[in-house]
Amino acid sequence: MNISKRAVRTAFPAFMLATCAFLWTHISSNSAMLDAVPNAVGPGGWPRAMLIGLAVFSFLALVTEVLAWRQAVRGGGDIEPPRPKSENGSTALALIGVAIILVYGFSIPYLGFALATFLFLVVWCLLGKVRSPLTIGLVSVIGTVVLLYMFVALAKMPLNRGAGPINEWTVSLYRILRIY
Amino acid sequence: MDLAALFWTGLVGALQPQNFAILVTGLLVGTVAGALPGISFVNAMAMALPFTYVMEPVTAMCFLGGIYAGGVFGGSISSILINIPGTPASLPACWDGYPMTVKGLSTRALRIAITASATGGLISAILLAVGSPPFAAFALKFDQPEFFAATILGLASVVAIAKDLPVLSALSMFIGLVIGTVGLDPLYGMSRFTFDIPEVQSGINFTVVMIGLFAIGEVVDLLAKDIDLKRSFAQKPGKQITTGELWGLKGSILRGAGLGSMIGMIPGAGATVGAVLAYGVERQASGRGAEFGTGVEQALAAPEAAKNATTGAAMIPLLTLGIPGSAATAIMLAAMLIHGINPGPLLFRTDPSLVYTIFVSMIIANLLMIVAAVIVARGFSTLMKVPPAILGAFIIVLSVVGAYGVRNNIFDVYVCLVFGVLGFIMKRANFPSAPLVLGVILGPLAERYFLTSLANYDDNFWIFFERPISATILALAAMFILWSLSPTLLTRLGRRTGVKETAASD
Repeated sequence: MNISKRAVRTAFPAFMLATCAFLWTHISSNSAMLDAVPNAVGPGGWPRAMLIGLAVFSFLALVTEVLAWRQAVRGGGDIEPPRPKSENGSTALALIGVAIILVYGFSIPYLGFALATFLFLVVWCLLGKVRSPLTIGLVSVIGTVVLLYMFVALAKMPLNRGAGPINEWTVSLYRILRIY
Repeated sequence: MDLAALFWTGLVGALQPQNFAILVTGLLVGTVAGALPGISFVNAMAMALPFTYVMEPVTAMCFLGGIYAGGVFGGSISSILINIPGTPASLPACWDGYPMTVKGLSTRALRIAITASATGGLISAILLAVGSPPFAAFALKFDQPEFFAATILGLASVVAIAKDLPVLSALSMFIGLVIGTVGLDPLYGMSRFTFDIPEVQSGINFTVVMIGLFAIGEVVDLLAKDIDLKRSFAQKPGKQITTGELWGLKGSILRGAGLGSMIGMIPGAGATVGAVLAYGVERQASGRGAEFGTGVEQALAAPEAAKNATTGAAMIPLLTLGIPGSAATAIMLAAMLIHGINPGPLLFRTDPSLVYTIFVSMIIANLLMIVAAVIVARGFSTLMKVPPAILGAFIIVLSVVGAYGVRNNIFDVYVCLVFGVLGFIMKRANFPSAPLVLGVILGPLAERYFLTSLANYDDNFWIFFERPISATILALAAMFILWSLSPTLLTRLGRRTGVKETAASD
């Protein structure tokens, strides 16, 4: 197992332990009200029990990972043979992918579903090493139009149209496509 | 209404033109999704959810049932032809299916896999149809403590099944259980972990969590893997298999189907466990264990039958108790809830036509799977030419729309994206994510049953052990946990004994 994976596997339960400690004091905005309920368990009882469970298993996982790491170091390196290159993949590419997905999701209220999806399809194709402008154009334009027909025209979903002028642009697009 | 009349109603419902067409569509979609590496049938079901919003409940269930049945098999196509398992459950098909392809027996291997899968699925669907009604009648005796115990059994089995990773599975499950407590509490309506965000008052929807973890997380992981999807498979179809030769595999198929049906009923087990266990059992039972891994037909048939036999069986706890045992059945639960259907023992009385239409559609799906599998296997080379980048892009867009469509709220998209990132991290670090989802689903149920049990029985904590059925179910849950911990405990015990013996000999 490589160091970055070990670090994630160790940091994850440690982060969960810290989260448990934080959440324990933030179950409700009014802790006094939470405990004033005349019930054997009350609204705070179950979340507290779950937090205890999470803390216990986070601690166990942390200890297990630290011990395994120490054993690997003492044993003179990785306890598993390195994985083939195809399985290691490109972490940087994946992180860029994550960033693009986040930008896509968070931009929908501002750009609207149609424009944000079109741009996302273009960028994702480029990220996936699709270089043909014709392919990218066809995939993004036809893809967006088909998705709009499926969800706006057929499923009648009130997808975001964007803010300000983009809203007007989306409405015009919908009119051209005869789905508004 | 008697059983025959109910089956007739189910048959009429399943053969309605729109239901039948959507069932066939679902089968094809599932088989294609299952066959494409990196896109599991669970992803396909999660992506299909928004399409079900506009369907009638019966049609929606036919669609998802078709994807489920087709998808579980579909993974074997890529396993057999190009040695890449389309789904984790198709891994055993790589071990003996691909060696058959290498020997020039790809068509023979595919036919064995299709026949075994369809037979296993059919047996399981019949079991679902025959076994569910009496189980639902028995479940009518359940009160809140029994439902609580059944939920605990579901949670315990999730951890128990992950025998090699019990601590990480429990950690993942407890993350889900904590997420399940977000929002208003079920008895007093008091906000918990909401941090004054109005959208969180109604809790974190498990469908959104599922879409994020399974669909988005998988696509990002696929991007990082750099899989070569353009490998060509054997050109020669090879020697065909005769009906007589297929009949000779009946023992392996029946063993696999029986084992898969049993495994499928256990919440948390699923197709992967069923297939791997069936492979192990067949290795002992066939008498050709030493040859396994070289293209043995029994070694292909048994796990294939077991894999699809889990599909019908997994729906028994879903329909009779309202407890999903796997990610796939959790999506079906989501679809049912979206349409205002509450699965559980009462569903068999309030809407028997829906229940029997689901039964019959599962039987039909497994019969039609043979046709769907042949079509998909033939067009597989064309499908494999679609660049994964394009497939991935559409999966993400459909996931975003799916998350948005749950409540028509952009906040759910943000939540979905956060869980997508978490899913990617968990996948790269080999943390199991399915227990998290089951924790989010079963957590609120467990809390509600626990609190209402106490409210109904004068805050008596012992009520769960005083009632025979709930005590039995809890004992079963404890046995599951002990069984999962037994290898670790035995290893520790063995080490200590070894240390003592060494010390004594010194």
